[in-house]
Amino acid sequence: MKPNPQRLAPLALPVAAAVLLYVAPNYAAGTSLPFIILNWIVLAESFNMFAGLTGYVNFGHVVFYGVGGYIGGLLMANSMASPYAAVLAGGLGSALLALGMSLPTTRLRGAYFAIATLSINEAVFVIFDNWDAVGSAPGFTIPIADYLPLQVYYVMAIVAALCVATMYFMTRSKFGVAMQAIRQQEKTASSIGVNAAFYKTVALVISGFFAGLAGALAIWQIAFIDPTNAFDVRVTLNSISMVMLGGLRTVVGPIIGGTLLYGVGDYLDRRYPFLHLIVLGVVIIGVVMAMPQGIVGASRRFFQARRIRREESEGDGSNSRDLAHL
Amino acid sequence: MLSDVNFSLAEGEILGLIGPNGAGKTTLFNIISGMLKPDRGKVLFGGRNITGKAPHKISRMGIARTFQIPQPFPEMTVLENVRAASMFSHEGGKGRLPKDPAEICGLLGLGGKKMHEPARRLTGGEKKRLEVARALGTSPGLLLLDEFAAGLTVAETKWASEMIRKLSKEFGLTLVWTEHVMRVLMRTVERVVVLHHGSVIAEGAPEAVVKDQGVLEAYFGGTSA
Repeated sequence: MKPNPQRLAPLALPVAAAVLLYVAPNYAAGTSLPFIILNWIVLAESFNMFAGLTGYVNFGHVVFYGVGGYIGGLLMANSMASPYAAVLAGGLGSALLALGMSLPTTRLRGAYFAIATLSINEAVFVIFDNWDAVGSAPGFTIPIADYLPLQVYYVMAIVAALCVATMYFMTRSKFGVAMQAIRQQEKTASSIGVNAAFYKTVALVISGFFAGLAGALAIWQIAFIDPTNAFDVRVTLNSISMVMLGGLRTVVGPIIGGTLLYGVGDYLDRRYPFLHLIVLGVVIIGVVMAMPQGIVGASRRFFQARRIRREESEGDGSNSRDLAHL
Repeated sequence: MLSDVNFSLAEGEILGLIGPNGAGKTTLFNIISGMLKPDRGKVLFGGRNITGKAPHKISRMGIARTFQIPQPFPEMTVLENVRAASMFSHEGGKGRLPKDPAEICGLLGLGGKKMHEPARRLTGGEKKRLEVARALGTSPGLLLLDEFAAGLTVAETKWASEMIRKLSKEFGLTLVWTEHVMRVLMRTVERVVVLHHGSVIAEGAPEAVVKDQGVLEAYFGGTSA
């Protein structure tokens, strides 16, 4: 049977991404830069899974990252599990935390939800900062024998691919419709049979799982953890900036936002060490003002407008829209 | 606040629920649809006690509602609004209502190109139709219509009345309709329940209720010509 090129087309992007991830260390002078970018992509995408889809901004997103890091770090430091199992435990631990967090918070709306999650972030930081068993404020180091940077990098790449694929399926399923309904009109969503609390909880748990994996992987690579870095609210703020820059609620947005923001930030840091944050801030404000729906949203609008113009000029007045997320 | 509100509905019946502002009509709808939990009392649907159940559970049992101020999913198209509703209805669908979301849109006069328009771009009257279309998308057995005719033109109001009758007669749907546009409601419904200060003050055929002294006093503060 002759292969149909149209049916194979959707596979082109994942295959290209897999090849790119495989060869990236050869062109990036090592695994460090691609690892960090992938780590940020997972953080931004997992933030997008909850905040983008439900419209609730989780200012405590870094808590999942930090707790995942601590669980993974403790297991690795005490040789209680292989690094792979420790990373998985970090993700599962954060997912469990997200489940607990969802009980009080998913019943809150708007600013109340945002404030509650920010408060949880502060509370968790204070707990870890004073908890001697987990190293308190100074944190602890992880002596990892036979550490192979390429090994950590490929695990990170697999996690990033799984994270993006999960977001893809979340937006293209009944789950995605439920999330759209909740975000646009929660009361109406309940009136048509959508269990809003359940869907929000599931989204938060999946978001927490991937952020926890990112945290544990970061600790595997850095081999050090302390509360100041693990629960730094700037991690959440960066995730928000990346998602806003790339495109909220889109699958590809956090990939573009994460790569650009970290890549540009890193370049500016090396080029203008004293000015880079100011320049980066100006760039972000400029892009968000020019493209409030992010790079993907702006591109989608551009191509939709072009298609409608073309259809109208061909005499087809249909203005059907494609709501599918990129 | 509601107290001493007791009435039943026959399958396929159209019941009018009227009363002055603040009588408790929307509160009653909120209680039936699970958006408010009553302190006391019971709501029975098809012999099942549904009191205090979550709105999504009640919807899945076959009770749909519209809102006084239309609340569509604004970024979805008309068709996507109805399709979303049909996705989450599990236990409904016993009636003769169409199952195809596009057919439901057509039934409500929202077919053709209108189906593909985002809900936020619809006129007030079209949004009211979409409220009903979305509710029908859940394949309900009982439909609660909250001021469906308010703000509609004369022609639209006539159409609304015909549509409500059609839903009952052709598709076997049971309807409870609250309305301030009294003339159209009285022409359409078979029975009326009158609420005042949260209590039922009259119940019966429309022609009997309009002559009820208690109802006249509730509406006009005294007798009427």
